[in-house]
Amino acid sequence: MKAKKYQIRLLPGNREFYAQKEKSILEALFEEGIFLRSDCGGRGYCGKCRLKVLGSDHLKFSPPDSSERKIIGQKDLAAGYRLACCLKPNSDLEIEIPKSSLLNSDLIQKAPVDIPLPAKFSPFQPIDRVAANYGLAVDLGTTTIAVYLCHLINGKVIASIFVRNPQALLGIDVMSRISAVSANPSFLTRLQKMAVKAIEWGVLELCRSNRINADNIQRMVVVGNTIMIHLFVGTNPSSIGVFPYQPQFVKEKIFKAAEIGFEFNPSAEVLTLPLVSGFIGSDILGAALVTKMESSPTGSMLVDVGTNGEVLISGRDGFFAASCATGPAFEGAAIRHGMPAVPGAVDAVKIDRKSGRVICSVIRGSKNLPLKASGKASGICGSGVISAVAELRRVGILMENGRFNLKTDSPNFQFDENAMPAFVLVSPEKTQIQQAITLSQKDIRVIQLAKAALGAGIELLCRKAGIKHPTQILLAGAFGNSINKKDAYTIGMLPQIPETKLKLVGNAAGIGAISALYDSAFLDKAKQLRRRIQVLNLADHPDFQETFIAMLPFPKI
Amino acid sequence: MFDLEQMINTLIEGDESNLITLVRAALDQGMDAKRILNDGLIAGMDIVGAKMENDELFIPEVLMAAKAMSAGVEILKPFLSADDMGNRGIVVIGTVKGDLHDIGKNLVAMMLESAGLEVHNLGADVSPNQFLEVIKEKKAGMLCLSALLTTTMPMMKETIDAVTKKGLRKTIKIMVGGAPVTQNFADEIGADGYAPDAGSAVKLAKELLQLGSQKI
Repeated sequence: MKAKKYQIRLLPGNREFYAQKEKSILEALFEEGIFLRSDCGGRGYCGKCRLKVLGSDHLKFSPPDSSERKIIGQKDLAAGYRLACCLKPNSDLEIEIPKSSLLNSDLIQKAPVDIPLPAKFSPFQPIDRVAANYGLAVDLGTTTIAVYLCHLINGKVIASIFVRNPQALLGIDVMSRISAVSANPSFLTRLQKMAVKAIEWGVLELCRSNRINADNIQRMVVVGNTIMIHLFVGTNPSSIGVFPYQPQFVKEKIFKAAEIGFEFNPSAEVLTLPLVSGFIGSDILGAALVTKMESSPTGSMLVDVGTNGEVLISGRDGFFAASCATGPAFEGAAIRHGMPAVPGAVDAVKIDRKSGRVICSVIRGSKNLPLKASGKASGICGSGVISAVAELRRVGILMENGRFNLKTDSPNFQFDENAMPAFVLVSPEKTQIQQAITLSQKDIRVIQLAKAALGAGIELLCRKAGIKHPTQILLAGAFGNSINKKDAYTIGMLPQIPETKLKLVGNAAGIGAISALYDSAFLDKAKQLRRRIQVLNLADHPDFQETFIAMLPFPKI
Repeated sequence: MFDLEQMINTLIEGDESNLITLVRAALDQGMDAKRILNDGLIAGMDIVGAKMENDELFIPEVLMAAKAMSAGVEILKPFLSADDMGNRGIVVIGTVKGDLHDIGKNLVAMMLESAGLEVHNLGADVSPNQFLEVIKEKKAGMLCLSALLTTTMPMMKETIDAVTKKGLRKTIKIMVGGAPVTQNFADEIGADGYAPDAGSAVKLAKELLQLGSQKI
């Protein structure tokens, strides 16, 4: 049966397109290249994809459910506001998108690169010095895509942008995306297009804001976990979904941009770096190379925290790696008010010991890109969550078992309809979202699961490598350099080694992709290192359960 | 009269040594062992299950409570007749083939055991044939299937189909669970029930077994 389609008219401008009945407007807009904010991945709870529908027919033909009603509020609902991710057309629609719902270029930041890039680099091909002299490095994450715009001649990283991966519409984690494909092979094309379109959107934003002609982009290097790379190149990843979790390929791949659907410069070269196993991808390989893991002393450990936490340790005889199912909590997703580390995000929390007052630090826009909403918070990012949980532990509001201590009688407790507590970090008048930013009991449980998954992985990997404690830890990932080391120890996500031995290395995977743009030897180094890595499968490890459960409580203060 | 309230709270706290003391005290004061089991320990575990449902209790605490519960049951055992002990039903439980996740399923197994059921836990990555063998051997009245990966959920259906094919479907109740599993999915693959967490799994198992055609 052919899917029924309705005409959608976008105001102002009268742009028209057709949307399928069973797809949300969020997804239909996305297919038109219009990106709305969607921190929850189209699951109807972040409330960031609001749009205004003209006329009242939509209420009759596609009535909002109770949760959409609750998020929009009666007044706004009457004014025509709906959530794009919940609204599925059942009639032709006229819609208006408020600026605040558009994923906008406020999210572009000066590239946070603080690992020295190779001083000398010899590009793969001779570069036409006048025209084609830009390159792109992409860290294709499950939840967040980082795109870096680089100048190939002077070696400078010009700017970066972070885009939520729209594939979240078909599943928040890699497994649910695999099963979407297994259930319906046509989703493979859809997911592939989604990744490409999201990257392309980021690329065009970067070009626009830096006044660069996209035709001048010569090359792109993409790193990511094995499943994301399969989806990106259009290979069915189903085999990774079931034991023994085998990938379809591990080698590097090279394409012309147009071959996989990019439009910015059809003849640009796209390179994906080699993979290690089903759950150890080119992101960790890239991160390992830029942090010089291949020549690091025994006991050095690289921890890359994304939607999965990948851990690589240098053991007595070779390297051992494991992937820990942390979920996207450390990326500021999967929790109620979570968001990426961009302007508007709470990134650190302090509680005054005397007054009990909560003081939040909010990421502001850079000087060039002032944040219009004057530093009001709109959510909390990964490092903010870790900071908040650590602080709540220190002041005793959160107990060792992860439960809120209601006896502390904090005025910041707020209770839901089931009498479950949440802790208010920012009161409604100080937010951009007209509601309080909170950490709920459920959020705390999500963090406990995440840190126990990581902790258990690290512990078992150390045992496998014959090491008691890591001698140094290089911490890479979503929260970049903004995480406080003490906080990480307080919540127990990492073994407590001396603070000077814990080094924050930012988005090392992204820097790996950047290095590969510049350094023609990088690919060979990646191929060599991948052969030296043994992968430990945590899911079938006999001690995993016990170790994981033992890691669930918070450490004693 | 002995205060079962205190026993229930001690169980919820997962305080094994105090629970043992209280169970002994209750027996000393002449309380019927069956009543201690039903209105004390099992009632307490029901609350543990409910508290788990709303995130108030978390996996480690639930495990501690279940452990305390088994210690309590051990003390009661000599005073319980076979009828009291239940033999309420024989359950075979496992994670389906292709899936190695164990924790949630083990928690359900412990909670079922706490509720007085005879539980045979086959572990993870269990093939339909392995399930069938044990079901026949133990004359099980209930099969519990777990899958933690969306990618292994189809194996639940294959397992159920295998049970049907062997002609065992009418004599066994099948319950499914695991993070990605939903009631809709359970209905779709022809399971008798779905439980979102260990607490409700116990409630549902009891319900299903009472309704079951087979009396063991």
